[in-house]
Amino acid sequence: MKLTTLLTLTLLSVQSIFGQFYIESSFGYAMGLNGVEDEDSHLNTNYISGQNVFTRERIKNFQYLSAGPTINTSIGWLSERPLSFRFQTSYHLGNQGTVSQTIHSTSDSTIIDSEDKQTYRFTGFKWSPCFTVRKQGEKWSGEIAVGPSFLILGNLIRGSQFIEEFTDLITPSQSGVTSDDAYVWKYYGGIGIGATGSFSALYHVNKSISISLGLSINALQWSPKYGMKLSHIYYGQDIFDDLPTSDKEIIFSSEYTVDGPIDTSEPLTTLKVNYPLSSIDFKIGLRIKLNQNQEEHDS
Amino acid sequence: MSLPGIYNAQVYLDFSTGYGFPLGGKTFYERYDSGHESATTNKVQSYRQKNISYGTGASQEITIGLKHNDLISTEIGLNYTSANQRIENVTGNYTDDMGWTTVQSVSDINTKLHTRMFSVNPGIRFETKMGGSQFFLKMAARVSLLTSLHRKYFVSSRDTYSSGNVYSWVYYNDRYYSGGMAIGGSIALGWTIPVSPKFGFRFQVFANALNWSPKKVKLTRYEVNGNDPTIDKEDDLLTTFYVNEFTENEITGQGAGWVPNNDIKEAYPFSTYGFNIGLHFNLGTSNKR
Repeated sequence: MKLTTLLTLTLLSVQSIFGQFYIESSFGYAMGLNGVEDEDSHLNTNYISGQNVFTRERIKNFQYLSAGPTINTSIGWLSERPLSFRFQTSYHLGNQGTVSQTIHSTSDSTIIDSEDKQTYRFTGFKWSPCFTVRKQGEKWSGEIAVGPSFLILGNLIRGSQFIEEFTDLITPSQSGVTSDDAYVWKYYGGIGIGATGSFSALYHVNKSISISLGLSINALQWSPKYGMKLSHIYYGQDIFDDLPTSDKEIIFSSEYTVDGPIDTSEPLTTLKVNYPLSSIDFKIGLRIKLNQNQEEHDS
Repeated sequence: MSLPGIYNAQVYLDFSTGYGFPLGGKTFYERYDSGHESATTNKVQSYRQKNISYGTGASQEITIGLKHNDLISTEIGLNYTSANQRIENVTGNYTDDMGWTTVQSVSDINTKLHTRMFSVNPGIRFETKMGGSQFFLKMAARVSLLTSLHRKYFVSSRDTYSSGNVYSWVYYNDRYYSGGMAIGGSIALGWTIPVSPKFGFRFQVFANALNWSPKKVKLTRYEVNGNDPTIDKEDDLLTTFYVNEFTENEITGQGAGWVPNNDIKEAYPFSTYGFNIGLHFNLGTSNKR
């Protein structure tokens, strides 16, 4: 009870100083504008009776890390002028993307099958403090917001699995798995910096509640600061604890110098990699004004 | 100009010029080799990250707009961006002591990138008065119609042996990427400072999110120590077309079913942030009633 009273008093004090506030919650979906370049490929070779038949299918498969559902929350301040300010936080839930390269190779005496598969999943918070300008109407309003955006707590989980099976058609006992290696890396740290702009149409259900439809353009990129291996399974055995530190931890740097052998007891230093996170976002949500005592003086 | 929906809209014209800095981009690595390599010492290799956004550079824009009321304008801009950039892939000067001889190696491998892009930017601008000036926020689509990239790859290597022998070679590999359309977005915030009712200055900061996938690439130069075996080749043999997917196949002894001139699409980031300064002209009302 005391906490509720305190929060109410705080809110009223802030409102009396700064004017009208609103909160907005929305769900959305982001479409990636740029992605990590990758491709699927499927190679078939048949070397039978001296004739080599070779077929390879290649398919573009960019990994749009920023694509996927989003949950957004905004706190905004409405000034007496059309110019206002809002602070939006978006959480990108991410999608799992998969890239795969397969090889199927046959001859008179052997069959070799292999698959090299990578998976990507990105999650992160995006903060966007924006200036807003709005056109207020009785039933509908329009609002445009522009400002910088910052990616924090970015988290990219990247898995890799390679498996190869060998079948000996003449001596079946020599058949078996010839390679089986799976590991997962987590890339994190660092702040992504970019910019965002959004256009929102607001339908006013009543004086307090509006339905918001929004379209955003985001220009954003991120270079993680650290890499950490989460697991490494080799031929079914967990070898993670046996790996040296340089094979389990990475520090990403803009520049570094190598002068001698690598110290395996220390994290490996390597160059930063940029991950593109630009997107076009759609969202739908509700906006609730927190104070109706103050009249709007919009144009 | 009495089109439906733009009655009494004020027409304005903007001329602006500006510069864009890379916003993210493709990551390249630069390396510099130095020092002394021997059985007991290693040469020193210094690595440096370089981000390339192909849209980095100067741009010019002409914008025509309709101011529907004090708050809202719609407009369309024509933008030309041109950029020259360079990547020092590997450079160095080091000594390699192999015991029986010593080699002084000097290398220069670099890539020059020249990009050009024409884009059309239809957008919406919301503005509000702040003192004597106008503060505005703008959001626009960005559609590139004519984009090209000329990539010039150069290798120069010179090894001088302690015996006095010198081995050197020079290699050029130039490619011209073109075609394809890029669609992205642009956002800006800025100020208009009026000098008179008809004329003012505009200043804005902007960010673009744009990615380009060329349709084709042509080998324009392939030269090793002065010899260019491609010089008499037909265009078709020097051109690679980018596609989303394709199948290549070959049957030994039955001729080539191989598809040498297809490749999977590549993406070239053009995202930038920067500033524009320009002149703003009010041309009057579109339809005086």
